[in-house]
Amino acid sequence: MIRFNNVNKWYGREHHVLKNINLKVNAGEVVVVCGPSGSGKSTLIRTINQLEPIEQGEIWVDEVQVNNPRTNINRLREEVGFVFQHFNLYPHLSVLDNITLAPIKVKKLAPEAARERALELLVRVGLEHKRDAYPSNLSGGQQQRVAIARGLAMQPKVMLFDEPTSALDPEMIGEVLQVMQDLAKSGMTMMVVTHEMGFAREVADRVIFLDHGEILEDTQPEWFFTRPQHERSRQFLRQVLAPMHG
Amino acid sequence: MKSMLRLGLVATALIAAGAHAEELTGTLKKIKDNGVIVIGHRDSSIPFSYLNNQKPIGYSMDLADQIVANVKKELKMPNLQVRYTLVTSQTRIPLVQNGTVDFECGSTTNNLERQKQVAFSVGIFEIGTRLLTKKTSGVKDFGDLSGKNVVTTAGTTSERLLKAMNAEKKLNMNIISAKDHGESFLMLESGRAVAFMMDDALLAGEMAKAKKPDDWAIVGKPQSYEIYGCSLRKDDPQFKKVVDDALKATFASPQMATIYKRWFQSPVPPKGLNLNFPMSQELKELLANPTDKSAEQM
Amino acid sequence: MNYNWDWSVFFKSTGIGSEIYLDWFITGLGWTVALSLSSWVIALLLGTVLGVMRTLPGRFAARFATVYVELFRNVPLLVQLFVWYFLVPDWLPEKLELWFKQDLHPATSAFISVTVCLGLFTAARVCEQVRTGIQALPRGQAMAAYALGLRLPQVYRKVLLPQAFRIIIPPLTSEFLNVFKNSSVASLIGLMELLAQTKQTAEFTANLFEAFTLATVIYFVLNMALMLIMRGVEKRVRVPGLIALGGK
Repeated sequence: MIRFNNVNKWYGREHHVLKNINLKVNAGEVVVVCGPSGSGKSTLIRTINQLEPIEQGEIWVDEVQVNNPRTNINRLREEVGFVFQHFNLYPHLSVLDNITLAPIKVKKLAPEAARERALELLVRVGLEHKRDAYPSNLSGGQQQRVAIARGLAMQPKVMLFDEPTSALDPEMIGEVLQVMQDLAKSGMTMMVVTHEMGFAREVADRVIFLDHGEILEDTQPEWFFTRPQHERSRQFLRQVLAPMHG
Repeated sequence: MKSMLRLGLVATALIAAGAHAEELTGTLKKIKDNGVIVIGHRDSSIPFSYLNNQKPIGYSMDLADQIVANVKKELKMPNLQVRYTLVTSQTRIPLVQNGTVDFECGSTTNNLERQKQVAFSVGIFEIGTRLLTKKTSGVKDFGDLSGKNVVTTAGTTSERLLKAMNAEKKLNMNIISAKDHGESFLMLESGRAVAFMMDDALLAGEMAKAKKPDDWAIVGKPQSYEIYGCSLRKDDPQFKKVVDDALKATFASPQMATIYKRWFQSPVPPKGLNLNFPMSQELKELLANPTDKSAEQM
Repeated sequence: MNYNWDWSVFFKSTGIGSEIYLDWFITGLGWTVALSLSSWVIALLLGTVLGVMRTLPGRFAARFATVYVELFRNVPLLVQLFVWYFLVPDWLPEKLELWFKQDLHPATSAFISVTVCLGLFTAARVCEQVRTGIQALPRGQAMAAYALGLRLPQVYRKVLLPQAFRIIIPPLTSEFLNVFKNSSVASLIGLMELLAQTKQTAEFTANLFEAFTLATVIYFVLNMALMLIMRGVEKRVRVPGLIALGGK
């Protein structure tokens, strides 16, 4: 479903953020990307829908080459849902309008149909009672669930998550992970940048460990947690799993 | 008790005033006390009162000099200081009223409305309101203006006359009120208006400034006459007498012809333009019979 | 100061037809309002387009808008009016020039000149407000919209501008009020708006203070009314928590 062939990206001349990335995500797979901060994992996931351009290599999504100037990037983005760390809901629109905006404007869905679909999604994320509320009236966890519903409303083939729980208070992390887990079970192809190792262990099919823009590990969760290959991944795991740091 | 005291003081003052009939009051007293007389002047009323090299000059300023000379004589203060203050058409009346200037000489029309606010000296000039137009325009008199664009300067008597004429005679003129004479002439020169109605002396001034003065002509029967006067504070007979006496004496002397010729029939600063505006019959009569009445009262 | 106050002056005949001086003020107010509203419409539309251009990724559009703003904001309004009224018509084809100068009613041609002048002048100021408003929004707003496949015009129309405008209502209100004050430049090219009528009344009646007092009161009431209207608008479109989010 997603393929990286020898992808390189620089910020300016000096900073080489992605180094020779090769990876493949199959349809229905759930892949967790982790790594220390500054390792390039957010950049990696943003290159998939061209929120960040790349300088070298190829990225393919479902047989469409993302970084080809002739590709209609908007078309592609319709197929790729994206969930941000800071939710980025539209504060001037109600929950329902947040979800229906893109389907109506981009997919030219009839407003009633879009509404119906949005309500189904709200039921799925457990927020049908909040449909008329405004984002600022919701807790962080609720906002992120709405943001997931908003992404799903476009019926994407892939869902990308960029640290979806890092901006949340601890007690809200669970509700968001639950929604993501349900989504994974439904067979959605997902790529998730996260520090939630519990989620990685239980839900992911594969874990990718990134450091200094390089993929150091690409393996099954069990192998990653029990037998990491690199010293740096071992160090990373020690830090994230240390009980004192939560 | 206090009021008794005040009454006593007022009574004393009244008696004192009565006792010395020549006691100075009003503006003269103020001038004497301060040792300075303040004259209000304009910045661009050519050739009446305008600035040249920062100095106010013009026909009205020459007459103001005569007034100052008489004040010096009256107060026996040969070294009386003279100060000039710039006034505009909007500030001249309040500045006279509140004492900022002692009198103002420029191109101020004496009319009934203004007489309610200030007093006027005997008339120093008389104009007729006429039209400036291109010689080739075919406009000979006001009757030819029907349906045309006509410009006049905002806030002048000409503006009011023109609007009234338009309403009464249903001439269907489009009247443009420009902010000053210079802009009125610009409207005329740029073809936005076929004629410019204004005081004939001022029209002569604008014409002299034109690129080709010969292309233009002042036409039409005067729609009104207006008398310019110097304005001073109301209810100050002592000062008014000094002012009027000075002017009357000047009018009667041969000096008057010199002053007139200097400003209306010779090249004047700053550009050395000659207005070529001989003295009208009306002005001759006014100078021969000085009056502080407005034209409408005559 | 021995000034003769006379408030009945407004009800006296002007000597022109059956008009009284109060009629002049009413006519003047009419011109002021018409001028200001039409200039404001131009300013708001053009200013928004320019403000958006300044935030676009494309270099050319942003540079064009920047030059526009610098030019129109820094050249004094009076100079601009002079250009629009006296110079621009001379650059028109001759037939159009004559039509504009002579066939058109002078008040109409002056009105057009002032409206264009004031509209374009104010557009530069509105542009800066709109730009500030858009730039005050978190970057994630545009990103989230692009990520959902919204096209650039949709991102601005549906996501960025509705939020930016809510943020900049207060500064826009003061620009709106400024338009009313600035509309008095029209008096300089002979359009008899409120200030011109005031000056004319003062000149004709010699009741200077009454005339300017009335004008002050009218401008004040007008400003208050506009402020109340804008405050009402602000309240109506308010979304709880938006400003706080905008500042994040």
